[in-house]
Amino acid sequence: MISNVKKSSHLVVKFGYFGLVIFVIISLLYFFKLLFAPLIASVLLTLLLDPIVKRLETAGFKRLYVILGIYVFIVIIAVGTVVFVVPKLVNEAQTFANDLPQYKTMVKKSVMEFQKAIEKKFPDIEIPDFMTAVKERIPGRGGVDIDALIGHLSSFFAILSLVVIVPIVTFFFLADGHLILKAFLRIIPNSYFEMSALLIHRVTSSLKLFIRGQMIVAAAVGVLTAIGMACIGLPYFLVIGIIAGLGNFIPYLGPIIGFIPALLVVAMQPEGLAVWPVLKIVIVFAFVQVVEGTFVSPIAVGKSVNLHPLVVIIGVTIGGQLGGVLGMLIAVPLISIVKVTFEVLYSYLKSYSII
Amino acid sequence: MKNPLWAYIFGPPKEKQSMIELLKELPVFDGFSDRELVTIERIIHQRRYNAGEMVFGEDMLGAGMYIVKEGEVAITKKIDEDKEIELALIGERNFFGEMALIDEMPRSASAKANKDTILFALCKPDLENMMERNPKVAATIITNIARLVCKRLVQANENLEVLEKKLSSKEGSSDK
Repeated sequence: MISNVKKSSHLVVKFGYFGLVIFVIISLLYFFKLLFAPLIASVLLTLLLDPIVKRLETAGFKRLYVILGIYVFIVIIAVGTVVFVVPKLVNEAQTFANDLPQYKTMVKKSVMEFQKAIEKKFPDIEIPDFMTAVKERIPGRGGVDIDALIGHLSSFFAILSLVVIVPIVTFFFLADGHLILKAFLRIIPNSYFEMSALLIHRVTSSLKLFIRGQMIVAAAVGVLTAIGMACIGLPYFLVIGIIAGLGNFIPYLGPIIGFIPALLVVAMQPEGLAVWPVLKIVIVFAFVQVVEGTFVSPIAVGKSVNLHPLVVIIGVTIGGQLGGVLGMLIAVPLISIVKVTFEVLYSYLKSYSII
Repeated sequence: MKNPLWAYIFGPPKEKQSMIELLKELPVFDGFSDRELVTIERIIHQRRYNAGEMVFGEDMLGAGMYIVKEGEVAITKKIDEDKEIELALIGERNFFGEMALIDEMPRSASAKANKDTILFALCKPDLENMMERNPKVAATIITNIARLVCKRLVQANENLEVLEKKLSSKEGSSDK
């Protein structure tokens, strides 16, 4: 009887303790929801940089110096980008803006010629006016509301979190990550200690592999596309490469995301949407996809994440609705990360007979 | 301020120092300098168990080995649905569960605290991490564990020999 009472009071204390811990965590997340995105970005950056830090540490360098060295390297790259690449991009953008009226007429001409060619081939079919249809579908001045986008990006907190919070938090995660993990494991009850230790290790290793793989693939696609576009003599090859690399984070839709700007640039050329220039970019994109699918992805990513096309489409749609273009880009990597986490979680909980 | 707030989050420095002193006395961490012991201390998890509390159960996936700092742990194995035998009693400064450090296999026996016990846990992922970051320290830990396991094996062989002698003399007397 006494032992039963003791046991139940024990349970009350136990539930009270964990209830309090969960309450504190949820409250912190709610009140500091602004910190949520920078924290996730820091975790991802930590997972990306940790293998590099570890490798250099194995070579005999002190961890702290390695981290500081990486930061110095990143700063040099950032400064170099600002000094050398940004002016080039700004220049490209300025040239583009200056040539825009000219491009408008060229695109209009290309579309009209394309319409005429189709009308000639299929005289019996009534084809609606392409230009009116395009104009009806494009809101405002040009598809994406650039002012609003810049407004979102340049909001004070976005810049603050990007420039200040993310590097600082990432630094501490890299330097003292094991201490944070140790402190976390300290509050885990004895019966779940071993499972939690293994689980955390499994999830973080899978995520490290996944993030590293995605980064390598995106970089490879970006560089290959840029080289290919430069080889066929298409202007703005650097921008197209960057878009293709970033777009690659979205499976299935990635190649299309990179292809559209390339097609637009072709349309802006004097010869317009002619067969040969279009075929050239199709060949480059097909080549990049073959190289990516045959050599880069199998080595860099393996079979870590295999999302169903339907999941990708739904994810990208929801991501687009919630966060615009950025939401679309982040959606699939985020779903993949959640998938990896749940797969590992499920297999471990099953091996511990919890589920 | 004696201890800043962060010291309580990551473990007070005094506790850290006393833990290093304790690690020095353990055969598993033999032959390490104070500096190396600081590195080892970072991957050691100190756990407290009440008398009768389970450390790990048979057939569960093992995360690593434990060293008894204070108290006593009983290693038991189920031989029937409701019958289990005690394989060993692990006292202070001794370790158990080392097989989980080598291979990710289900535990072959259960471990339960016989009295209020404090254990040092050394997890496989942390040791693997150390193998990458500090291979010399990790290799020394593994060599020390292997040496102690060998000693146990010699002891077990001797026990087996004694048992076999007893059994054969018993069989001999029953034959007569």
